[in-house]
Order: sequence, then structure tokens, then C-alpha cells
Amino acid sequence: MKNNLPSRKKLNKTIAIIGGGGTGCALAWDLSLRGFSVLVFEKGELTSGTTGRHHGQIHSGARYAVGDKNIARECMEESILLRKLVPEAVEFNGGIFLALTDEEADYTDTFIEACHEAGIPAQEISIEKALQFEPLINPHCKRCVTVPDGTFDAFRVPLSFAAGARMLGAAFYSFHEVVQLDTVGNKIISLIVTTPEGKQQSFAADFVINAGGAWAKQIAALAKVHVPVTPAPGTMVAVKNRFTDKVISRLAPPGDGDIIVPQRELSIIGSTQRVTDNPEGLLPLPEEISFLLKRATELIPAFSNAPIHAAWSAARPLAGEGLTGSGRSLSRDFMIVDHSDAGITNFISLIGGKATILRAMAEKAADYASEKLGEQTYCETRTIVPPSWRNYYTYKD
Amino acid sequence: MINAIIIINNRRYTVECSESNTVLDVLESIRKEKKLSLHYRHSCHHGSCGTCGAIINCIEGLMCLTKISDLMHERKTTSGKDTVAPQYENGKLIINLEPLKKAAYIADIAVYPAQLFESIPETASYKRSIERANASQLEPDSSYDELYKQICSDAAQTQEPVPDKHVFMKNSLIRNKLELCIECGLCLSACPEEFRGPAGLAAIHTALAKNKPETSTYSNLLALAYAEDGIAQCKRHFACSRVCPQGVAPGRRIQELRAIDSKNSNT
Repeated sequence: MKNNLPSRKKLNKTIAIIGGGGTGCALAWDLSLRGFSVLVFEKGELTSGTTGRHHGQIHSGARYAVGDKNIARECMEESILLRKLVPEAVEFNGGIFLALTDEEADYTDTFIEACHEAGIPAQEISIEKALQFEPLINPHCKRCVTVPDGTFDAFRVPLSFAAGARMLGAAFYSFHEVVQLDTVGNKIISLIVTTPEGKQQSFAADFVINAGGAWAKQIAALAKVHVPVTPAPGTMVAVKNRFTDKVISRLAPPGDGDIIVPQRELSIIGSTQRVTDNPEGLLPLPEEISFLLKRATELIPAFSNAPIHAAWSAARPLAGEGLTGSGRSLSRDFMIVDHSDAGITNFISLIGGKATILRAMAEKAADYASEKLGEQTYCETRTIVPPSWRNYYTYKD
Repeated sequence: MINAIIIINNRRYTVECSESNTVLDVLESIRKEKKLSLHYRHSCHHGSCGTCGAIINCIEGLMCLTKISDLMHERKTTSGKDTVAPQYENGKLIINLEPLKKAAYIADIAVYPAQLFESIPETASYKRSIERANASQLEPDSSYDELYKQICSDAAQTQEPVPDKHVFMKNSLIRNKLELCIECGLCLSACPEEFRGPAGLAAIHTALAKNKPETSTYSNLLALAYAEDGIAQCKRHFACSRVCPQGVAPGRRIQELRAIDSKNSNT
């Protein structure tokens, strides 16, 4: 691991990123290392959309192994990388999946096999052994499987990437909302941005990447193009007690209220899922909170005795459209939408994806943008350790 | 339902909200319903990221953890002596929001907390490791064998040093935990003195416990605590400990740093 930031060869090209969430920050880091000049625009503080509200689980991929081996494999690879790249913001304590019903006990073998096929070292352990590690899990569970899950600080991991980008010259404009994309012919030539003082300012860029997550559709509409994204809010509830160090999950296909994530002195039960058209200002519904507490009690019986610390909602950016109900049928896969087909050649949108694979999403998007710009570059984010998130605020341009 | 008037920067927003809503919930709905640009920092919405601090009716607090019902009672100020009573205007609860102090102002209540992050030394780790009480009974499960193999094969590709297997397996039994301090800056804002401040000194106190006294990291940290802008400037107001949402007790930690100081000067 290298942690010094050697001076980069500078490419004479500017890439504007719209959206300062996990993907936008990781992308700014990746593109800056490749030598591009990078501008990041975020209408609020960095990670104020979906990223920061994440419950903080680093997925080993076990949750997705049965449904989608590729995503599962990618999660496993990325979770190992995150431990090395941002060790200060990662609690790596592993995870246990609990089978509580006969049906779930029967599913265990399928689950373990799928994990192994995806390269995830899932391992069945005795209930007695699981209780030695985590005495507060449901002692009446039928089977237990350990996996290398972990947790991370959903604010500080992206901020570390942003800090690195900044130290390489990337300019971050938080509280700057992109309100207009001016096109000439088949290219976006400038971005019109509202500053915190309420003034309009224009920025030129050679290439524009929409990393707006659940807001990607509204951003794409500024250039009169369409991206298929569905905001799918999920609610989480934190209670005042750290019951476990490991992430506790339900040994069943992904559903609602089936993960408990420890975070400092809290435990968080996640999550629900519905679909909406406006990702702004989401509040949890009372029935979601009672449902989650009931489900949490099945995994950790003492859970709902602890006082509620907070309840909140965040909008996942699901790739796809035309859904009703929960939207769980949509893949959590990540996609790049190239707007060349719609007549704009220097604009792409990133949709879907998951927090655990933020670095990998950025790598793919940066590869794509480099090629579109005719630059031969390569990704270095697997090996270069970014600086501390604190440098994001202390670095002076 | 409660009718409230949110006052930010002399602008007034009349809202209807529930007692169980947080101040942050209310700001989020103003932004959504009234389609107004309103600037404030926020991220996790559950008191973990430390971004949404503000001075809420005269007292520093995290907006995501301050409920409307909390503001309907008399509250003790940061001095610990006076109280702030809830104020109403035509039956509407007044919620006055101001930006945190000792941070660069952006707009509305959004700030840029450079001073806070500068006050925390780079060597102050954000994480701690805790040995399990029953560690001797535990053994790592074989999934860690596989994980170790993967890490070794990754390391071979990038020519990095391979961790020692025994150490890796032993570490897998240690619990990792992020530190209590979420770097929210409430303490720095509430403290009436101008110096490195409570968050930075509390971070030094925490970091000293993780480093051996004979190391240069330890002596450098201690030098920062003893410096002119260090513990000597603390006047024991304890506003820091009163506003800390995480129970870090920076005031007590500063007093403990003083104890190390006097012990050293005696010898």
C-alpha cells in the first residue's frame, strides 16, 4: 500500500461530476489519480443524499450470493479492499446469518454453496459457538453461518476519497446546485450552478458525469435526456444498545427487516423498501418502525427493549423503471447510461449500485469516461490509500 | 400536531409538524414542500456522522437528535446555570436556528468546519480494538482461513507485505469499534474560550491511551496538549461536556490531561 500522493501527469481535460455522494467522491478520487481536472457539484453537504444514511454494512456479498453471484463476488473483493484502503473508518468484525425457521434451516445449504461459488468463505458454526461470540442473538435459532461482513462509517469513507481528490487538485463545490446544462450541437458545453449566495455561476467541462443516485433522473432531465432510475426508500431504526459486534442477518432471500448492524453504541435494524418518484425529504412511516422492531426482536430478542435513538429513511437508486410495490425485484447492479444515443456525446449517467462497491463503480465509470475522451489511463484506486477524511476540511487549495 | 415558526437568518418559515419529528425532519420537509433552497449540513440522520450541528434555541445540538418535543420544555443552557424557556408567538413554537461558532460560514446554518478538523491531530486514531472478555475460549472459524488466503493472493499481485497468519487469526478475535467522538464540533462551538478546544484535546487524551509513553507519537501528542493553545486555556466551564451528544466528556478529559502534566512536572 502506498499512501503518499505522487504528483500526477496532468491531462488537459476537465470532467464535471454532478453529485457528491459515495459514487461521486470515489469517482473524483479515481479521475484525479488518472490526471483529469475534476469538478464536483453537490447541492448540499457531501453525502447528504442517500450515501450518509446507509446503515453502514460492508457486504461480504453473502446476502446476494443466491440471487446474483456477480454482485456477490464483487462485494467480497471490494470489502477486502475497503479494509485496506480506509482502515480507520471500518469496523471489521464479521457477520452471522441466522436461520430461524425450518424453511430457513433448509435454505442454509443452498446459501453456503452459493457463497462458496461466489468466493465468499461462508462457514456453518454450531449455535453454541455463535453464542460464544454473540451471546445476545436468538438462542432458538436453528442454524448459524459466519461470513466476513463488516461495517463502515458511511460519511467518512466517501470523505476520505474526496480528501484524496482534493489534494490532487479536484475542486469540490458543496452547496452548489446544478440548475442548467447548456448544450451546443451534441455536447454539453457548460453547467450553470446556483451558489450558496443564490447567484448563478457557469462552469465549462469537456465531459459530464451524472452521479446523482436517486436524483439522477432530475439531473439528466436538465439535458433533456432520460435515465431509468427508481428511488426506493428504505427505513432504518437505531436503538441505544450495541447488542453485537458482528452484523446479524436473517438466513433467507433478501427481504425487509433482516439485517442488524452495530454502530458505535447503537444497533440498527434495516430496512424496508418501497418505491417513490421524489427522493427528497423522506420521513419514516410509523408502521415501518413497529414492523422493523418486531423483526429485529426475532434476531436479537432484547432489541426492542432498548430505547429508540433515531429512525430515518433513505432512497436507494434502483436501476430500472415502471415498478410498483417494494421494487425488490430490481437488481442492485450498477449501470452506465451513455447519452450518445439520445444525442449528447459527452454525458453519462451512473445508476444503481451499492455502497460496498463504491470504488468499483467509480473505476468502471472512470474507465468508460477515459475511453470516451480518447485518453489512455489506468485505475490506481486499488492500491493507493487515500488520506484521512479530516483532510477534506483542512486542505487548503 | 404542533405549529412552529422556524427562524433562520431572519427568515421565518411557518410549519406544522409532529412532536416526535426532529428539527432536521422539519427542515427536510420545508425544503421538499416549499421547494426552497435552505442550506444546512446533514448526512446520516441518526447522530453518527456529526454534520448537522446547530445552535437550536440558544443551545448547541444535533438537529437529527433534537425532537420538537424536546424544545417544548425548559432546558439548561451550556453554562449549566441558566435555563431557556420555550417561546411561543400566537400559539406557535419558536425554533431559532443559528450556525455553529468557530466554523467558516457558508449560508443559512451551513458551515465549513475547518477549525474543528485542524484541532484534531493526524495521529489521533478514530478506532479502537477491544479484547473480548472470553477471548481464551474463542477460536477463529475456518472462514478466516479462506479470507487469509484471499488476502495473501491479493497481496502477491500488488507486491504488498503479507500479514502474519498467527497475528491475522488472533486479530480476528478482537472487536473493532469506532471511537465515541463523531467530530460534530458542538463542544468547540459551545466553549467560550479561544484555543485548540475540547474536541482536539479529547482526541489527544484518547490517543495517548493508545500509544506507549516512550514513543515519539506520545510525546508529540503531549506537547500539543501542553502548548500555549492547549489545556492551559481551559477555564473549566464544562460547556463542552454538557453539549456532547456522545458522552465523550471532553471537560473531564482535559482535567485528566492536566493530571499527566502535573505528574510530569513533579518528576
